[in-house]
Amino acid sequence: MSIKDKVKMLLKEAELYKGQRLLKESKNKYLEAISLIKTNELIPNKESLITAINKKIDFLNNGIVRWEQSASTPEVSPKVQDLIQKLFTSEDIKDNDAVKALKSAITLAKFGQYKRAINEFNNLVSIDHVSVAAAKNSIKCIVENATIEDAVAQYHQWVNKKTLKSDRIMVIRKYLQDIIDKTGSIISIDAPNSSEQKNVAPMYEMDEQDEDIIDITSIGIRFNHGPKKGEHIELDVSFQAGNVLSLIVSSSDKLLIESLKIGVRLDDMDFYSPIAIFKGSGVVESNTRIETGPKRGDYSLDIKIHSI
Amino acid sequence: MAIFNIQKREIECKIVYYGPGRCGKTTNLEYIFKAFKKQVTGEMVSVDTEGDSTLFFDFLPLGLGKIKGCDVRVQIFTVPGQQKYSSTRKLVLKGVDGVVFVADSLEVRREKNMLSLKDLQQNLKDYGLSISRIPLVMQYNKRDLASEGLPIMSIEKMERDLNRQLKVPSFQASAIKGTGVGNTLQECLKMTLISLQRELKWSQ
Ligand SMILES: Nc1nc2c(ncn2[C@@H]2O[C@H](COP(=O)(O)OP(=O)(O)OP(=O)(O)O)[C@@H](O)[C@H]2O)c(=O)[nH]1
Ligand SMILES: [Mg+2]
Repeated sequence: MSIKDKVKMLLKEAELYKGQRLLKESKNKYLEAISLIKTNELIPNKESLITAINKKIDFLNNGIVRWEQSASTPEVSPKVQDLIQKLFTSEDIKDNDAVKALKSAITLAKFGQYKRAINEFNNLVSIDHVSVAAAKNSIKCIVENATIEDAVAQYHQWVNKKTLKSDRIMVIRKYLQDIIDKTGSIISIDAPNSSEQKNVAPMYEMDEQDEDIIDITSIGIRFNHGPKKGEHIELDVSFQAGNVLSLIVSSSDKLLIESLKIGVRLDDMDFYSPIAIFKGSGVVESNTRIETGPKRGDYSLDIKIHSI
Repeated sequence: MAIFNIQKREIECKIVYYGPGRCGKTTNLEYIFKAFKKQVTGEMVSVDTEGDSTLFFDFLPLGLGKIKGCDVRVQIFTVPGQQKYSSTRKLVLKGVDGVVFVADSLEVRREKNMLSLKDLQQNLKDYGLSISRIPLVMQYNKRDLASEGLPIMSIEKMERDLNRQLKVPSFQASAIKGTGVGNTLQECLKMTLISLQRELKWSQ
């Protein structure tokens, strides 16, 4: 094949990739064509040909940059949001209306539709049995979508309007303060009213309604004592039912199985979900040897999320 | 996860088209929408970007009528294949009953195919599913581009890259022309329904 034909072929290939909107692949073919032209003396009008190809590359570069800078979860129309809620919210006949609404709002948040999700969460904050979950999720979305200051403002609004019961607002305060601390910021938020704090349990235990909030895909455990002291391990969650996570530990990891005896409290855990990492603690609920199937000999563990 | 209503004898299952960006998943669904009018029970919805890439998903509902005394409905989804949409891709996969993996036959997309298959395996695993056990069908798409003079991979090479261990049924296709699209879907539906029948012990 003559050089001219080779160049022609490369240009045609580049066009075809562009037609498939494979922009980077297209650009590479144009670049190959340019280097071929540069190394060859026999091609007429070399300079103008290269200029023309460079124009095409510029066009592709624009497309590539625009694409890379575009948001990965932009706001979509209300109609599409409705569909997302319908298609991706898992239903349970036991759910009452508030829980259903909470789940729908969580679906929107997962798809990055924060503005509407925040509205929907805020409408649920005054409903007692979902208030904590709704408020936490609202805070989480505001932090994602706006600023910590906005989240603090929202919190103060709840405090001023007494939207949440006092023990609940303390839970939210702790949740927000933890987020603030993680960012290294020095904002501190006021407790609503010191006399109301007395009855508050020091550690927030996960409520029923929190169960469906987050899908945990894997966990990290940092051991502060026992045979694995000082180590950090990560395990995949094989199944989640509410706040109980089931995992499989290989029979070869004897020390780990030792370290995760029933009742052991894990104070330093990371919970990885598709949207974020949460810090928290858990308790080993069960630790049993698998007797049948391909995983025979390995151990099946249940860890209950204690706080998150 | 399939929804099985024993009283009403209704079953609803979920098929997901997976694969790297631009491999032709949406094009498959568009063809199904046009060619399987009798089975299509609603509009096809595409949530895509300005550049035509899928942003969140495409969705198409099908009704297969009565199978073994049960009314079978299918929700077909495509995931966004582009790397940057990894979190939505995983959300769309949730609850899947059967997968069509669409691979791009273009030589320049070889690595993207393999990365996407690995990504599928990982995401299934995160949901407690195994790629070697879930009903799965491979499609080697864009075969027509050979005649345009673009370098495409041989079927043997694609089988070696993607299907050496899995050994699942595979089909050549040109989604833009419709070739192979129906066969791919039918095989995936067949495998999915057999698997659900076994799992749910549903029979006459
Ligand atoms: N020639 C040819 N082009 C195809 C074929 N299938 C898809 N295309 C083209 O490839 C490009 C991408 O196709 P899509 O169906 O949007 O790909 P996708 O897999 O949905 O891509 P993402 O949504 O980004 O994941 C479009 O320009 C299609 O026309 C095919 O079989 N032959
Ligand atoms: Mg698409």
